[in-house]
Amino acid sequence: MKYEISDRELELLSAYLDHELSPKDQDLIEARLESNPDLRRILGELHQNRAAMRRLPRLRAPRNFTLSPDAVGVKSKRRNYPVFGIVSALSSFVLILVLAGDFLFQPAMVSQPIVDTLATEAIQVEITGEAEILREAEIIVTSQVEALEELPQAAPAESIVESESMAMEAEGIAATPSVETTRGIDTFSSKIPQTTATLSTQEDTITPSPTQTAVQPTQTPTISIPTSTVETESIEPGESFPPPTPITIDSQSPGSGPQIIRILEISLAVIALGTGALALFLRFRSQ
Amino acid sequence: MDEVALIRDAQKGDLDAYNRLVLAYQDLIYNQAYRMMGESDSAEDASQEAFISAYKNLRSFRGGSFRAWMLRIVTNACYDELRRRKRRPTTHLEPIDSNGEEIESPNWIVDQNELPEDTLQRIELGDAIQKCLDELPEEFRAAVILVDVQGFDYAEAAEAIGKPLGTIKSRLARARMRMRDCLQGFWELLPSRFRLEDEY
Repeated sequence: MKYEISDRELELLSAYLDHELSPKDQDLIEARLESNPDLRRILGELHQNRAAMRRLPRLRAPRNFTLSPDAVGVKSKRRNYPVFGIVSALSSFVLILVLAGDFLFQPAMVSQPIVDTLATEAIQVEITGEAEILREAEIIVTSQVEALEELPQAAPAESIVESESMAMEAEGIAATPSVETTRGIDTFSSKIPQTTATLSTQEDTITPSPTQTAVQPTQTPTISIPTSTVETESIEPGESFPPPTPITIDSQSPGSGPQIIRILEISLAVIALGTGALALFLRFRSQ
Repeated sequence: MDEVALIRDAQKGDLDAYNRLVLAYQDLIYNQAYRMMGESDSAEDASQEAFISAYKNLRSFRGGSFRAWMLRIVTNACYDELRRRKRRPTTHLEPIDSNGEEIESPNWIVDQNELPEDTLQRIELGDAIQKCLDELPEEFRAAVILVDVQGFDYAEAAEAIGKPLGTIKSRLARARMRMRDCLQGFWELLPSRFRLEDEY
């Protein structure tokens, strides 16, 4: 008589075969197996079949099942970021070379502005000194003019002579004796009678010398500084000497070498940074 | 091979990373498909379809056993094809008897005048097992292939099929019983040296 195994027993038997039973169920099925030879036979047949299936050969895939972009509808993305990365690297390299060259050969060019600055300062000092002298001369002349105006009319020759000598001193110039000094005095004193006399248009009037005008405007020395950018000024009497204007010397004319190098450096830096950022952006987007 | 890193890269769209996973699992997937479908052409189609479907749905993989996840995809692909065949029956290669059942192939016809060793030469064990597998319902077939052919434990088989553990136990037990009944006549043809000990 064929043994009819129940579903419950079959499940226990099958799980027992794979050691997937709880301890309680395991004890239960083992007890049944001991008492039921049909159950043992079925268990043996199940075991045999499972062993046969486990011995089946492992088949190798007949071909590779790797996918192509077309198979999954993926467009092959042209990766452009390596190009931008290379350009960025090259730009950076050239920039480093230019910076290094600029740094190594810059001292010869850097000193020129310093020299120009020093020259400027020297000129300013010179101008300042001369301006001081002129200012003092102006003061002296002004004071003498005032003094002369206060002097009596009878002695104009002396005052003329004095004013002339003072003007000469103020100028600081070695006076060329174009001024008649003692001769003028002697002529005057010999011609004037004891009585009160007034000057008239007589022959014994003093022959004025070119420099015997009462107060002659002194020719203001013009200071011309032999630099192209320094302004020259003429000082008139009564005018105060303007403060020295700062002199700027621009040694970098448009289109000079250092400017070109700066432009090149900036351009390379912009290219390097721009292409590098673009390469990074494209790379992250492709991921 | 860092499987976790490959899966992560593949989920981001890296096709090369995914293809490395394909190469690692294609033998396993093809075996499952072949045992389910019973023949190589259908198994190839099911495997290719499974890998394409897995790539498109890779983002749905939330961790766990990637092998079980792949097996579920190929098992479902085989289910779909088998059901499609049932809806559109193909021409039987074997003749049909009056009951509508296929006449046994010549391989299965036992020649009374033939020695068992001769019969064994004609009938291979693998073909016999495959024949019996083909006769199982798809749900039973998947369970017995995963546990008895592929060697998975109950938990991973349950994850691959997407059913509870109790369901797997039940389906496996009933599949094994049917395989026993199917192979019983075959075993009787085998010499004793091919049989296992009755004692377990």
